[in-house]
Amino acid sequence: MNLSVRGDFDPVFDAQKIFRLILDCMARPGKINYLLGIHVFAEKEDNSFYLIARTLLDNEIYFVCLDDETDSLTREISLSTGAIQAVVEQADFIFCDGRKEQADLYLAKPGTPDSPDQGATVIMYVDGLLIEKPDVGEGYATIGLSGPGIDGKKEIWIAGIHHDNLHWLALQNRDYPLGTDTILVDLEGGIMCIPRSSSVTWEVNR
Amino acid sequence: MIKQIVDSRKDKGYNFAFIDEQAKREIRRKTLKAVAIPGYQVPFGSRELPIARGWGTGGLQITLSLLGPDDVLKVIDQGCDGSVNAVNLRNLVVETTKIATTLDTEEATIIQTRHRIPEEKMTGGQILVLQVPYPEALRIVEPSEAKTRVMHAEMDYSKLWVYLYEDIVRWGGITIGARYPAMVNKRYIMDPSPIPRWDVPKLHMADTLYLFGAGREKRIYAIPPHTEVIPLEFEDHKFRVEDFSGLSCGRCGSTSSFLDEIFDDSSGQKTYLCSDTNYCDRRLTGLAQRKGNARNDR
Repeated sequence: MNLSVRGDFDPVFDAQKIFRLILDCMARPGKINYLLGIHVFAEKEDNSFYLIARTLLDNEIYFVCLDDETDSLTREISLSTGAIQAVVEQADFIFCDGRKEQADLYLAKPGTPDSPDQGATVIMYVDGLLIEKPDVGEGYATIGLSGPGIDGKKEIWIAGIHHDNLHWLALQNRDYPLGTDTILVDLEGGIMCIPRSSSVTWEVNR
Repeated sequence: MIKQIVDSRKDKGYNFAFIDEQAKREIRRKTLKAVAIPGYQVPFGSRELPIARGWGTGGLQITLSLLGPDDVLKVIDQGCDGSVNAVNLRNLVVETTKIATTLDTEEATIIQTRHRIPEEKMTGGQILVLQVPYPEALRIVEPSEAKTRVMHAEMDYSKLWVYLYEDIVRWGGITIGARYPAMVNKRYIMDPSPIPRWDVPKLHMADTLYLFGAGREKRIYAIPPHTEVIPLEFEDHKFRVEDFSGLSCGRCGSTSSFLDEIFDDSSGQKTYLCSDTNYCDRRLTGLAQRKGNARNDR
C-alpha cells in the first residue's frame, strides 16, 4: 500500500490509508508498515509525526511533543488538527524522540480500571526498525514480543533507542489493562506498534 | 481512481463514506484502543445514519471509517448476501463510496456481517466487522451499566458463572444459543454478538482481525488475530456447538456447515439449507464443475 508522492495531505484518502496501516500494525504487533510519499517536513521524524497526527488528532485531543525545542512541530500539529497542547500527564497523544532518555513517559496517563481506553498513545521516534537481525554494527536492541496479534513469539530489532526507554516499554503494561500503547516510527517512514496487550522482553546488543 | 471518486461526489453534498472526517477520526481512535485491549468495550459517539439504530449502525460506522477506494466489500446478514439488511447497507456504502463489492468471501477485503462468520476460513488480509445489538455479556445478570463496568474492571465475573451453573441445575445444560459469552485473552468476558455457538471457535487464534460495533449501545470492541478466545464452560459441562449430525444441506449436500431449518407449512416437512449462501453457491459451482470434468474425462 503506497501513498502518492506529493507535498500535501489529503484529509480523506491519505488519512484513511495511514489509519489502515496503523490498524494493521496495532493488530499485529511487531509488523512494520511504511508511511511513504508525503513530505511536509524536511526532518523525517517530524514528517512521520505529522502524518500520524493529521490522521488521528483533532480538537477533542490533548497532545504534547517532548523535545520540541523550536516548537515548530507543536505549532504545526496544533494549527493543522486543532488538537490542544497539554502537559504530559493530561496528554492523549505523546510525541517523543526515543533516542533520548524520556523520563516523562512514566507520567503518561494509563487510564482507569473502568476506562483503560483513556490511557495515552505514545508515538516514539527511533533510528531504525528491523525485521531481521543486523549483520554488523552495534547499538541495536533485540525486542521479544508475545501476546494478542502475534502467532507465538516474535523478535524484532530496533536501532537507536535509549535503554531507559526500552525499560519503560517493557513496563508500560505491568498493570494491564491499564497502560499506554506505543507507535514506533523510524527514519525510513517505518511504523510498528506495541500495544499494551503485548508482553515485551528486551536485550541490548553492544 | 481517487480523482474519479472525488469528481463523482462533487454534487452529492456529503463526504466519502457518508460520515464526516471528525467522526471517522474518533471511531478510528477508539478502534485502535479496542484492538490494543482485546475484548474491552470502548465507548464512542455513535452518529446518526440514514438507517435506524439497531439495524447495524455500529458495524456500519466501523466499516465506513475503514473503507478506502481500493477495498472490496461484502455485506452479509445471517450468512446471506441477499437479505434486506445486507442489500440496503451495501447500497448505502456503494452510493457513498463507489467502491467495489462482491458476494465472494475470498475476494472481499472487508466483510460486514450480522449474526454469522463465513464458513470459509478468512485470511490475514481481511477484516470482519460484526454488527452487535447488545455488547454487554453481563447484562443478563446485571442491568446497571455503571456496575458492569466495575465488574469488568475488577474481573468480577462470579454472577455470570453462577447464572451458567443455575442453567445447568435447572435444565441440565447451558441453554445459551447465540451470544455465547467467551473469555478474551484471559482478561475480559465478551459478547461475540448473536453468532451461533457454531461460529464462536472461529474467533480463537484466527488470522483475521474481528471488529465489533454496537451503534445503539455506542460501543466498539475487537479481537486481534492470534488471540485466545475461550467460550465459558465447566470441567463437567463443556462448551458444544450445534449438532447437525445426520443432516445435510438440501441444496449442496454439505454436512459440515451451519444449517438453517426451513419448515414447509403445506407439507409439514423440514428441510435444511446452508446458512452461508456464498459457501453453498461455491459448493454447487464446484460440484457442477467436477461433474463437467468427469463427463469430459469419459
